[in-house]
Amino acid sequence: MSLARTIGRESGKELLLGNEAIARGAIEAGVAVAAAYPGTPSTEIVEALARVAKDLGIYVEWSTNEKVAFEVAYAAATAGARSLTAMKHVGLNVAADPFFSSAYTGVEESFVIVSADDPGMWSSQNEQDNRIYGLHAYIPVIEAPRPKDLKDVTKAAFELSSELKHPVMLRSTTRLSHTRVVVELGPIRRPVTRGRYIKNPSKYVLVPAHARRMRKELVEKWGRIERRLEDFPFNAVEGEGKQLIVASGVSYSYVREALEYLGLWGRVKVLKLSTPVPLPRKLVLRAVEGVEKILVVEELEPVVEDQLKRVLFDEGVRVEVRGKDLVGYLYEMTLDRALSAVAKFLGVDYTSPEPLVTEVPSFVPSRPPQLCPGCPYRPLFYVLRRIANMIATRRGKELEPIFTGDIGCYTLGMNPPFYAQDTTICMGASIGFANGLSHVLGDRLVIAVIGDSTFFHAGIPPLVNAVYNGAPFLVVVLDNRITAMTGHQPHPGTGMRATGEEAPAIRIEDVARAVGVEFVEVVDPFDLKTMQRKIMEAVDYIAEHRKPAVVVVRRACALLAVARARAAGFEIPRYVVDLDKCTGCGICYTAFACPAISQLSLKDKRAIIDPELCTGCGVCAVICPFDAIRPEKEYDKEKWESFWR
Amino acid sequence: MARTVNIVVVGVGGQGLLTLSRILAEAAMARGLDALAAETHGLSQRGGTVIVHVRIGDEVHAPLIPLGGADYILSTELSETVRYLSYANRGTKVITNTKVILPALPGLVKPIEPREVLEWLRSKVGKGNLYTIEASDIAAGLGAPQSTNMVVLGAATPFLKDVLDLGYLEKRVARVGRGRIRELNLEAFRRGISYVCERYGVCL
Ligand SMILES: Cc1ncc(C[n+]2csc(CCOP(=O)(O)OP(=O)(O)O)c2C)c(N)n1
Ligand code: SF4
Repeated sequence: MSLARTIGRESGKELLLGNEAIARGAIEAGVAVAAAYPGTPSTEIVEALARVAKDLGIYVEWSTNEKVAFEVAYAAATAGARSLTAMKHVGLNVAADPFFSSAYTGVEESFVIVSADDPGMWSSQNEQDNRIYGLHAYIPVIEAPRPKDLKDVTKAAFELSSELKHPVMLRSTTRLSHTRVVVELGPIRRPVTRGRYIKNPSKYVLVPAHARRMRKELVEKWGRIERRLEDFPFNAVEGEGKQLIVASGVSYSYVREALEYLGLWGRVKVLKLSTPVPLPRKLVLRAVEGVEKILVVEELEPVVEDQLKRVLFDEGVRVEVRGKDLVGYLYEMTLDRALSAVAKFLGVDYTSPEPLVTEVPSFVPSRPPQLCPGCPYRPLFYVLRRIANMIATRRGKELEPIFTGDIGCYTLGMNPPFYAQDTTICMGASIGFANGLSHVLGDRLVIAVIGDSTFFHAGIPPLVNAVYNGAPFLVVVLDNRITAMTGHQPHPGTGMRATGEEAPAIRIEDVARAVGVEFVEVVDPFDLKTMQRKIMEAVDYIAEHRKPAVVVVRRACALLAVARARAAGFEIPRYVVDLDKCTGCGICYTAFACPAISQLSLKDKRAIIDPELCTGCGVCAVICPFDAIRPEKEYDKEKWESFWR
Repeated sequence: MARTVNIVVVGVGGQGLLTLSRILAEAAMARGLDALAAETHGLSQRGGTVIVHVRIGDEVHAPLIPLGGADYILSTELSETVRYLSYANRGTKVITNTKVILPALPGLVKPIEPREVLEWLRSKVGKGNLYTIEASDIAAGLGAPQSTNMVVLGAATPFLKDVLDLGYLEKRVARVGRGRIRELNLEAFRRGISYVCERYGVCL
């Protein structure tokens, strides 16, 4: 069944991805507006809502970045529409400005901010506990104790926000968001999309005179919020005993399994906590009654532990509190971690099933993620590496170009044999860094490499800065028509909106020219010769004029092309190696490094193409100096090409 | 059933592991059981290593399977089976494709022989617990190299027949992909089932 039908169904049981369960919870709560910028592990929430948007009458958009998304949803909530925004943890850094303001003004209807954190850094540049943002900004934080609670916790977050007229953060994590779980569907509440704006500048205009008053109100409101959370339906004291384990968020599921494993479930007191911020004081005091020692189990920072210690100190309760010393700070919670902490805390021994092996033998290859076979970035990086080598040979190694990189599939250009990312900091920093470096490195060339979605997200202000302040560097924008890394969401350059309808496609070259870049070229990465020539022209232009230049490299993501071809019933061409012609030079699997190509055997260096992996891009046939690669059979080249636009 | 069944599904990004494990969890749900499947998304899908934790039981709370806690390891790639063998204990059944996919990392990755990897596996996994299957060859033989995942799913099915709704499973597999691929997927799935029945005597 299509996701649209699954998630939009009236009732029944479904296996939903955690993020889809959150989307479903929002639907059951009557969400009317949802806006987000994609980011793992948050993406599927708004993706799911987009699929049912038309049927259910919800307004859903992919926004240009998290700050914009936040403001879209926040504004709708100030006009009485129940709204949601979702982002990965670092997205909230981008949206932090309106986040703080939203607590001051409050809202008129539900405003739920989903922050999907990534303990373990499965697909992120850092590990960040956004519950702290809640403490900092005076925004309550709600978490699901188990994947199966996600849907109903989301619904409860909407109700809480509506009741308090205050933004509420729903904090998820990779394991909650990306676990498929059985969900019992509840009734759908029809969204109220028509807003009503009642002017109230003394509340919504944050000038100092208003803000001072509202700051005071906010601190008072925080106390009311804390009291309100005492009986939040997903908080509970379970079991009995003189020892208390406080389990926050998904750690609850591991603590529960650990206790079941030890045969102690029910014989130890457990505080299941789904409102880590602010910690409800009365609930805590009720839980610690008659308790002699406490263990706090939570991922990442001691957010609950610190608050708990303060509550106990203030109330004069003197009991031992263990937490981070037994649980640790780093990475995600696991059953092993919970079990070892709980057992140590309770002073019990246990044996766990012994793993067959404890180390990965050295013959197992490391398998860093790679650009897909057929990826349009591969020929670009191949050419960029050639150009960098050429410059280093001609002008000296110390003048080898520096690649300031960015975040997206193309970050993988950092890998051998391309080595075409020297920095990756955060979204948009490729151009920001190039600005700074180009002012201090003399005539050493800086090349900023940035994706199309990233360009719209955070690349435009630093490009304007380069023109304004005269920073000489090359910007290569990789326009694969889509936000690929996060699973192919459309962006302002794609020509399509989140819900599938057509939209104006904003052209990156037009933006670059409009902000005053004089050298702007668009090239096709499958035409390697022309691409190399144009990039070299840009390099010469920068050297001569000491101004920024932009080269847009345009060709659709290979996965997109293949998906379009499949949908059209077009058989994907496959390429094969003519072993009589192949000399075993290895260019295709070393310098070009297509994952579909490898050497024939340990001893035979000739190439072989894996039909399971080949996407039929045909670039290897262009690169092979011996003309040894050809399509397995003839195919309609023009038709095939049309899927790559 | 009382005890949770823990299935670690591993392979290489792009091999269709999310589809495989999702179908497993759905078929368990169709049987009236609780199921969780903790997936790997994002960066690790680009040809990286993929592990999915599938847990089936009366009530399952936590997403992740602990080390040494797998009842089954299902694998679509041989060296990935080795990488995640720390999830196995002495009783774990290991059902694995025999194909090795080498990452294209020139100079960094030494080619390995599947035969040697198999020998290593045999030395670690107890007799009667290792079930190898030439899933890639079977799929390629059908003209559907991309259906390797369905062959492996088929191979796992007789082992898991007590926790899966088999009728649902067939119907669900027949809905994977479009057009000709659908038929091939179903055929690949059936070949997986008959393979383990004929070679290992584990039958539906
Ligand atoms: C502030 C922030 N938001 C979101 C992300 C998640 N993210 C990483 S890469 C990426 C998309 C990049 O898309 P694009 O620039 O088009 O490159 P592609 O993946 O298509 O190569 C996103 C959204 C992030 N790392 N930081
Ligand atoms: S998803 Fe697309 S852009 Fe990303 S590596 Fe694969 S082909 Fe390249």
